[in-house]
Amino acid sequence: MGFLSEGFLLFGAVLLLLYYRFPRGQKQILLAGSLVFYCGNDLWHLPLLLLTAVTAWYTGLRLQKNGKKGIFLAFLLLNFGILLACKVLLLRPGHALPLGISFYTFQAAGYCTGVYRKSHAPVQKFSDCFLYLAFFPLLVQGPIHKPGELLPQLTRSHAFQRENLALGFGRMLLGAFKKLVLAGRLAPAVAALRAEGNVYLLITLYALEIYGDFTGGIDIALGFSECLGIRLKENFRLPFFSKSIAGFWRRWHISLGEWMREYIFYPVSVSRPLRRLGKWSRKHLGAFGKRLPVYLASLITWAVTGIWHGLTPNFLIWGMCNFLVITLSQELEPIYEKFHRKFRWKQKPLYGAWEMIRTFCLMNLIRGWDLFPNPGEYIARLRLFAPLQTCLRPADWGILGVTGVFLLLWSLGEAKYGCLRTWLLEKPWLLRWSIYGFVLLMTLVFGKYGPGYDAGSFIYNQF
Amino acid sequence: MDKLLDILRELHPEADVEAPGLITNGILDSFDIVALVGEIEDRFQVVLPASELTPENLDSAQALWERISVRL
Repeated sequence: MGFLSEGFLLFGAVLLLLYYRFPRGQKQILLAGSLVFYCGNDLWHLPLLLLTAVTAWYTGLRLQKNGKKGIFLAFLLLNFGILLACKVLLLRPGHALPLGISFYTFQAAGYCTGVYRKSHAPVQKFSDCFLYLAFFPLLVQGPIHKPGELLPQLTRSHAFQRENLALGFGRMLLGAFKKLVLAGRLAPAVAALRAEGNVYLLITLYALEIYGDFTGGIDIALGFSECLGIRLKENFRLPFFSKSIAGFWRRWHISLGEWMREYIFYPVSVSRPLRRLGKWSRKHLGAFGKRLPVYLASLITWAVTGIWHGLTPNFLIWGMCNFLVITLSQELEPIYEKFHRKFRWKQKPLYGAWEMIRTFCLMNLIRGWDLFPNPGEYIARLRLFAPLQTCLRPADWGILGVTGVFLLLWSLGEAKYGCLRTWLLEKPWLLRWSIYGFVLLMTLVFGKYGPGYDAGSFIYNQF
Repeated sequence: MDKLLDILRELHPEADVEAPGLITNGILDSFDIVALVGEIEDRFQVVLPASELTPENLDSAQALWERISVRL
């Protein structure tokens, strides 16, 4: 019962009807719905989700009574141990990770860390804790939420508002469009190019495929939640408009970046060993010495982020590439500033466009490591300039071209007006219905779904 | 507080570090925050734990000074 299946459409419709028909039981309906969703997708791994929820809830309550580090560490060891074991044992052909395990494990770890640090009180009811971890729109690909961002919304009732449904359905439609038309049409070409062909074309098309797949899935999750009156956090903010790699990671998979920053980067940075190193380096290495602890903490964080994506060497290299580019940019900052003071190009729109294209291309090169568990193969393919051919036909290119133009215009609109769906609500109905009608038609006619397609499978399910 | 303002000005001479919005206006990024923690330890002998590195505590020099002064 993936997001884009007939089963989910029926499930979603029934859930919405019950949710607004019985407003006093909304929390229970979401709980039951999340259990049904999980059992419908991954019944065998439900015990693991329950184990994380029970241990998170119990640890939170014990930490409140007696905030000993031992129980906190035991919780982290157990749950990250399970996550690691799953990644080692299940990330191979014919197997799949338990649904949502990365996301709910991170969310549970953040929850217990917050209680340990006394940033928030523990949840008293197990049902609330379970719902926070198992809320089904988040299970497929996140975003990862802190308790304060989600729990209050899940535990209070929401009155029916037509606007929520209008905005929510609009967002889900856009998500389906990106997933089924953009990602769906590119997937066969990317798979074929992965086997052989021009690697530069591969990484460019893969960038667009993963954009459609990941942001499309998030749109569906956030859109459905919006229908319920629940506002989830944004996970993307026009990522292809980024002007630097550091800037890209503030616009792409935002919740993972925030989690890594709060629970890995900052704790590592202020740990005793790094503070000791920092004291020494500030005294002996001058200006660079002030930055050394930051760079070390960043190196560790990127290594962890790489490993989160996968346990093969290519993901560690991926993390290191991100680290190196960001660190180099920091070190070259004085040279960039001298250059821009002399040439004054930074304010010009063309220079801004160049920065975005440069970042897009560089990010594609880094992301290419995702595709090659054997690093040597990626390097060898980069050295070859194979002919620019794909299995896409002229009709596919036409459809992708129209899709690309629409998404670019939509993104430019969002950059100018903020949430375009809200902006459209205030415009004449003809404009609104024309745009949504176009998107619906494109999705129904040109989307890749039906027999032979697994429309409900998302790339980030595997992480 | 003046010493703290000096540290902030060294990190970002171009910015108005006395005004609020150090985080919300994107003046301080995560690298700056870690560098700031190191300078605070050197100059005030105060260690700010990771739990204190929140947007609320870091968004203004005044808010940050409050977190430092309770530990002096």
